[in-house]
Amino acid sequence: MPTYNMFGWQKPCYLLQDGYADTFQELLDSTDWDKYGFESGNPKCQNCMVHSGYEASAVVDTFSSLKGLLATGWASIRLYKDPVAAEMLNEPVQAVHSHNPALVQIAATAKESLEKTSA
Amino acid sequence: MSSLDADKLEVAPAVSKDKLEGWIPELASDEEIQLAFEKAFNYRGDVTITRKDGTKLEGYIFDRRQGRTLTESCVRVIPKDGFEKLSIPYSEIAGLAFTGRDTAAGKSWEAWVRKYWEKKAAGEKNIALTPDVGE
Repeated sequence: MPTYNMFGWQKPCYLLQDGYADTFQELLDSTDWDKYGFESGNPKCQNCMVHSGYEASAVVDTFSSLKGLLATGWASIRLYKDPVAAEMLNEPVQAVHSHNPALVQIAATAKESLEKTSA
Repeated sequence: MSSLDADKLEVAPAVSKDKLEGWIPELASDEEIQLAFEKAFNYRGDVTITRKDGTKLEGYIFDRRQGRTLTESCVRVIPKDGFEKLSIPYSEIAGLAFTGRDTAAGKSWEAWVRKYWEKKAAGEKNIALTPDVGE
């Protein structure tokens, strides 16, 4: 999810800060995108699953058509039931690394200083 | 049911912070220059840059761009007394000093939680940890 502030377009996203670009095109052209993202192996990106894609998808779906806008509006005001999502909430937590070998396991011990990485 | 703790899966070692306030790197080699400006980029305070022509610039480093040579690499600064973005090649810089207060010093998540519990243990009500007043 790109962000713009007084320094310019923040690389690569609003959660990480690896420099700034003066224009959006420069952001796209000068950022080494292979270094970031879920599958890059960059530990800073391993638990970023919201703003890297899902939120933008929801925004596009909402505002790209009248149907999407009405669906979002309707879902916002009614008691939204999604049995599939509710079922997934009851599933046991899976180890990320063994569940998906493409990911990097984040090693952490109790003695280390820790910070939350979830968005 | 798995015994894995979701919170433990969502933590990673925090970024270690050097105590840089007051530091004056030697800038004796290209490697030291690159390293010093990388640290300056992550520093949350003003620095003072001395150009090779003797002029000094105090400001906040908000970006750095590393090229193949010192001439191609540059640091981008917003002066303390202005809003313009200045770009200075590494090759034109003679000195760097971390002169401003490190506003991020002591601002870890752990420190925030520790202060909260200290206030709560002291019996304080309506606990609020307010941000620093800007200089």
